[in-house]
Amino acid sequence: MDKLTKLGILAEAARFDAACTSSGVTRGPREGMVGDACASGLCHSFSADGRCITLLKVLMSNACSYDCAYCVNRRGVSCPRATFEPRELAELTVDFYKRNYIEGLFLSSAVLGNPDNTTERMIACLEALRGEFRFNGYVHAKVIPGSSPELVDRLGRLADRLSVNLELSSRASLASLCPDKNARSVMAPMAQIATTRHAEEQALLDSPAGKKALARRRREKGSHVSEGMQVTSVGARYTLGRPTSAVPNALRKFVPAGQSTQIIVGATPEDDNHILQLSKSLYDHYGLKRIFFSAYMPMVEDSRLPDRETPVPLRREHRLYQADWLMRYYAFTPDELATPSRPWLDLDVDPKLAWALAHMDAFPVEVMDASLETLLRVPGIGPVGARRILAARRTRRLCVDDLQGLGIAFKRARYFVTCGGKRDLSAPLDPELIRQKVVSDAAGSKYNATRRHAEGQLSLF
Amino acid sequence: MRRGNLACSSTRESTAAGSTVERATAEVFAALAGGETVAVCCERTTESVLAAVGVTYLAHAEPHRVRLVATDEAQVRIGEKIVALGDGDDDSVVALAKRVFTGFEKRCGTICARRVVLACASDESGMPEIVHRYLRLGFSEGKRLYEDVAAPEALAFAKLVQRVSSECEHTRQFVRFARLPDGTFVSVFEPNENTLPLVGTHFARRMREDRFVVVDPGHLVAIFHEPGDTTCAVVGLDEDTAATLAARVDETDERERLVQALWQKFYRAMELPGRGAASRGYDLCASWMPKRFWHGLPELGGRP
Ligand code: SF4
Ligand code: SF4
Repeated sequence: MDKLTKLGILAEAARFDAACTSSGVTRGPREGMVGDACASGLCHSFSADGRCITLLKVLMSNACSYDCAYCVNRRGVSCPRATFEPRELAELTVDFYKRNYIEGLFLSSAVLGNPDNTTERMIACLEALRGEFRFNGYVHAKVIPGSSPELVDRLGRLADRLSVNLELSSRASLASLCPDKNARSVMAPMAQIATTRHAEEQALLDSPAGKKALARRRREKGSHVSEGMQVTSVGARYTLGRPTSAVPNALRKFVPAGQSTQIIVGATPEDDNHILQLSKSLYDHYGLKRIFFSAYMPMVEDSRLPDRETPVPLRREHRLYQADWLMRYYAFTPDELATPSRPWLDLDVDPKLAWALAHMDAFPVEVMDASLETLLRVPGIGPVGARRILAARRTRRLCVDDLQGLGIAFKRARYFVTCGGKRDLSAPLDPELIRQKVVSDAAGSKYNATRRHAEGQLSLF
Repeated sequence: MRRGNLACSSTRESTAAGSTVERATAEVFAALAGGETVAVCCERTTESVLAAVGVTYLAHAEPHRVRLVATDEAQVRIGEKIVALGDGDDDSVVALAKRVFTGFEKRCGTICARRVVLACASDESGMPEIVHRYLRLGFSEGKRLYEDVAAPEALAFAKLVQRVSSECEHTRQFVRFARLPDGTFVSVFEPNENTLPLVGTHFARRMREDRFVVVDPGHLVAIFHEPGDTTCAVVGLDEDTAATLAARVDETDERERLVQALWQKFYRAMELPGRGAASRGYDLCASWMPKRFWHGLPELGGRP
């Protein structure tokens, strides 16, 4: 089979994985090697459906011996099958990298015979990439559930990030849809990665390099440079409630960029509260960097799955990402976003606004003296905007016009703030009215009008 | 003298007699003395803009009687004299620019100084004057400048920085190289701001062991990299050289065309059903990847 056809098959088979980041580790260039890695990641292209492309995302093979109900590669399906030679894929990665098409490789695979066999082939590819092709860029590898711990360890020393995909958010769903997998085979590598990273962190903390880096970090934290407007104002840098790794990722040898996972949304009955609770406990227990939500796309006919005609729950996926973001960067808890008694996220308004509308007693907030934490709870004010307010109000009294210049979405924030004791009198105070206004403003916007037209009435799944 | 001013008293030793800077300073001084206001006309380069700011200080101009204007948009106003600084063939422009930069960096901090370099790469009309006002604010506020994000001068300046930073990101994202048979990697890229000089190090880090060149025919600038170097050389071009360099992307061989075809195949394969512009209602792809870059992206059928 020629390279072109093979790539077509193995890329198409890999596209369902939502993880797309090349972020999490900074690694400078090394002599005689190709590439570097930068913690903030870089997207090089966007597919026609708008998802970013930053890594060469392919399967090592799509010839699967497992039989997961929702999967286009499962053993029973008749479709063209292909498998990369390890060296061939390594070479392709470097070819793409040098043309500035990608930041690196995202390597996943169907189960080729058995998990160990598959992982060994993936390792062979990464060894060629790092060794023969001297590649110093980013690599994300998927752990095949059921692989032996030794192989997971080797894989983790070649890749920057590993992910073990949970896919289904409950044991029962997993048992019914993926007969060859079980919860243990998914959770064991996740735990192994977390423990090994933790052990390495402890060892590094005691090493001279680790101590030096820690001291540097403390100095930077203390200087006033950590506030105000940075040249590159990455919101994530200014955020609350995220324990960052004690040692710089660049010093790590094992999975320096940490691990992530993916959960399919809408194939099984779990509600949003359940998914957010699960996410929170994964972040807490396994130190996950990201959880990706993938709206279920009905590709195969199966009585255990939603009907083929069910629209892809895009908006639900979007709201889950927003809620997840609020948990990670704004210190929201799952129960604040979707309560056990109202377990679904509001599809009409974003979760931060929904929370504010349910807690009108906490508003209005006075911009001139509110704390960072309080400012961050205001819809329309993000981490960068909040920091800018803190900086700016030290030098001058702010007025409403200033807020707009500071990158605050005032149209959204105006219901919830006062500025020097004044509030926008044209903004209603009643939560129901605010809600109507926000929804109708959004509906009036051009893109939502087209969107509604295209989505029809149904797809608010 | 106010602490906030450039060290004007040392004018003599650092500006050689008859230099570009000295001539411009004398002209500004004379015009002001004659009751006119002055527009100092500079090129759209960091050196030229900073030196022009330096000239306004050296001539002891009152801030409201002097402004900066880019050569490509200079228009005479009544009662205003235009003084051209230009890039200058002598070193005086660069020397003065350095002095202004170091003075500003000392007074306001490295972060603010770095943002000045970004702002100066902007194609925006009125850029030199916005930078001028920001520098003056900085020289008078010192370290407080960093936090004074709501000052009108700082807001206008921040817009420039924002535009240039985001265009730098576009440059890092959407430059596409083609490999020529001799092993050199070539790219033609046309950003809206003059970003190539700002992203040279980025590409030098990625491609440490390769020879490459990126050409910007719009700004007549190219960056060149030789294997092993840690930075790129930034070179100004004339139109013919720019065109010749740019034409080299078509000298690709069969292997290169295969790599491009593979990339195109990969790109198409990534698309998911049920999530496209039609189901979403708006074109997410175009909003992330501005149409003006499409012709250079091989995945969309453009040339690299
Ligand atoms: S779009 Fe976001 S998640 Fe995707 S690569 Fe870019 S920064 Fe990362
Ligand atoms: S293991 Fe399951 S989900 Fe993975 S490729 Fe095989 S059938 Fe598909």
